[in-house]
Amino acid sequence: MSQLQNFTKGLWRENPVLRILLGFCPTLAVTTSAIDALGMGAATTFVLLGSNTVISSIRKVVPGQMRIPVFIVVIATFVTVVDLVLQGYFPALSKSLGVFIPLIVVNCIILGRAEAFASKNGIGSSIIDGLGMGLGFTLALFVLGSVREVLGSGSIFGMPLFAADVPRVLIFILPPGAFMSLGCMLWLMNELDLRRKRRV
Amino acid sequence: MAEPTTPTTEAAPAPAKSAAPAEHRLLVTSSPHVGTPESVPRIMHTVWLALLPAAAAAVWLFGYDALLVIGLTVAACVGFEALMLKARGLAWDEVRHLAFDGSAIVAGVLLAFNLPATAPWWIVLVGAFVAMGLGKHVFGGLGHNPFNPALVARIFLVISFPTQMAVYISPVDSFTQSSAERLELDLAEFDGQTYATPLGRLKDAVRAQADPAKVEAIRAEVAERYPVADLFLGRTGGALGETSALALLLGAALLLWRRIITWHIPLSFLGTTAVVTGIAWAVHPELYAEPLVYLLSGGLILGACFMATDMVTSPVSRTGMLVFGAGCGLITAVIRLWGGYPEGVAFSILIMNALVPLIDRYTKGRKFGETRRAAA
Amino acid sequence: MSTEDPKAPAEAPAAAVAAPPPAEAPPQPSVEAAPPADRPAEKIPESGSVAEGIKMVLTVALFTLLSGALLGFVYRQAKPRIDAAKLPEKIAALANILPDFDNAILDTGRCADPDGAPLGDACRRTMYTALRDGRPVGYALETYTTAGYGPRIDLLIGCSADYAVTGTYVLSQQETPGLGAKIVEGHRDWKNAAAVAAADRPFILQFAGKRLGAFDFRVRKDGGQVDAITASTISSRAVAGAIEEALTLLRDRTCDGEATGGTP
Repeated sequence: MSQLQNFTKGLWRENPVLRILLGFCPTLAVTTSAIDALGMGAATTFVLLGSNTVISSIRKVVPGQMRIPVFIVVIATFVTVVDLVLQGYFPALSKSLGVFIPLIVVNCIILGRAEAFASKNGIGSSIIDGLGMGLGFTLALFVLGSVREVLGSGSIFGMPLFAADVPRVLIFILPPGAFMSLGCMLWLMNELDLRRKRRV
Repeated sequence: MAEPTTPTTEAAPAPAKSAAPAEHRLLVTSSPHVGTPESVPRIMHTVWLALLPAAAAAVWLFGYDALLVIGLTVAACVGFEALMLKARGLAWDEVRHLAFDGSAIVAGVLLAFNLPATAPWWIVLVGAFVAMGLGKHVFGGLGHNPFNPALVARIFLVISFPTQMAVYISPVDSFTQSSAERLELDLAEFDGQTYATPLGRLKDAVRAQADPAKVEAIRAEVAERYPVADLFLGRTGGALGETSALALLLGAALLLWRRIITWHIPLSFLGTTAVVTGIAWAVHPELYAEPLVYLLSGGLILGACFMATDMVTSPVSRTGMLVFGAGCGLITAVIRLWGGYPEGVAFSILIMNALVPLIDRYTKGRKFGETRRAAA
Repeated sequence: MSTEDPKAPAEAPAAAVAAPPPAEAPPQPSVEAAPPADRPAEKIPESGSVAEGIKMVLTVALFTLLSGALLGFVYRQAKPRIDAAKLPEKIAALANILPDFDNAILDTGRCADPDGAPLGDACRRTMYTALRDGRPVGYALETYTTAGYGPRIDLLIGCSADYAVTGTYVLSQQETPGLGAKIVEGHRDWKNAAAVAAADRPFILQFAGKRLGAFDFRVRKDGGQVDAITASTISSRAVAGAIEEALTLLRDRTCDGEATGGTP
């Protein structure tokens, strides 16, 4: 597999949210606005990059039975770093993402990439894999967050798109709206995939 | 009908007996959609005929706007049904056939019955789209939807547009008065407030329970403004089709006579609500109204007779129906008495819809020749 | 011992502040990945289950140590920023909801709980006094209500020296978006509240200048004078109730006699 494919697989073919169906907790919880979705995506991408790099570089040192605790320590370290940095330098974002930043520790995408990729591949490939997966995650969250913000709040990045008296479809910024939008995105993804396969 | 007319035995997987010849297979009960001389169109057309008295009552109570809302909702539901059938890849004559099999008309009438007379056209369109798309075709169309499409749309609308969905008008008895005119009059009469529904006022009383004098005032107002006779005739505010108990019961009688529904779900639904609200009333008569008021107000009769009994989304066996109806009644009463919302019929039916596969599983009849022990 | 490990990162920041690892932390902020590669390798004996076990323990201990060191370093770097980031919101909010003042208002904080708890973690309501030229011009109360639709609404409520509402700021809330969450609308606009047309005035600004006794802090549905947010009576009622309670508390806590409250 070329490094280009290694990078792009996370964006589309193995998109962690839309194809592998991992990381639904933040996907459903913090996509009420485009900016929150981007912030969550960026934070996760950073953690993924860091954990993939470190785990790949220590993969030959850590004894097999101890790898999961060590991976978790590494991941938790990066998550705490992100949490502290956000609190200090982006307080507004930190406030709106709230508990979901610490919860990145238990995001299956990160441990999944550590176990399935970084612990078996070199540093270079792992960095590229982490970047691709992180951006794929960000992309999915961003699309979902934008759709929900436009429909539910009538704005994008906090800027209103319609006059105040145009009704907003409130359900889209509430939890049921998250499930419905995600369902529609998965359907669209499968549909596109089916069409491509039919053409081939 | 495009659907196969052979009876299906989907209820039981029947591990060892599947080798039995086809003519020996027994239906556990009559299948929900096909398998009798009845066909989907005949059932569905009877159902919307049975809804006509309530529709007439709605027009009589809320004026010509009611007719417009009902007409637009039905047209939109049939339209979206056709569009979605087409989008699913059916040929045009099949689409035409299925869109007019009556199920979309029934869903449309029921959805309209759940809207206020003041509902703007775009709410109707969004509701129809949600009912047909999210409520029905996402799951594979008629017969595959786990939830009642009209109720899915109602909940979607209530959550999305709470302001517009709560604008009720007082009954007008006048065909020529528009709902907007009536709304103006109401606002003038009730100090800038829209017409309050009986259940809404009863919920206000419960919320004010720290202040006995106020509770008493609200209870007195409810008793004066909504006498039981008016509740029975429907001369009260609410969604279009839910207010007139008389008209709804007439329709339900038609369905019972035509054997499209059985008494099990409506009776257990209404009975459980009556019992639970009755207990609450017996314990706190100063706070809660008598069971008859709860029975006749809100969407209880509409829900119990026409929406909980939807063949696709209710249990198959008689026992299952009783359990289903009792569950609906319990949840409705709990929400009305102690919940955050004044009304709970729609939520209760949707929640119980979700439990139908489980109920069916545990109330499955024994197969012929099977002993009780072997079944367990 | 291995059961302790997952906990380690959570405890790390706190532990690291209490006793920052002396010499190890500073020289290696970002090259955390490099050192472990060679160090454990030289200590490991080749065989034996006891040796294997020791190796495992050492590995995890080492990573936990490194993680703690890194976090201690980051925490020390970020701490001043975190504290600084929390302050401006409150100061800006206080400046917005109170008459102009010239004192260091956060230093005037004292606990205003009815049970008289001291200022500290146990204190649930903190009051601040705004001074200009040494004379009190207003009071603010940091309080909360649990009567809303969400679990809790945290509020800053300000009033003038004669107990007329000068502002209310929502510090945090979890009301329903699009409905009860509208209590936040306009809570930064107190200084030009008068310029906002009455027709499209946000819910919160209607309290400007309202006093106890002269205004009924119940929503209209309950017979009061508060215009509730449409379809969000519960949130509106909660906020109005919290403002009334805050005014009462501030009055009871500040005026030693009736006289101070009465004279403008």
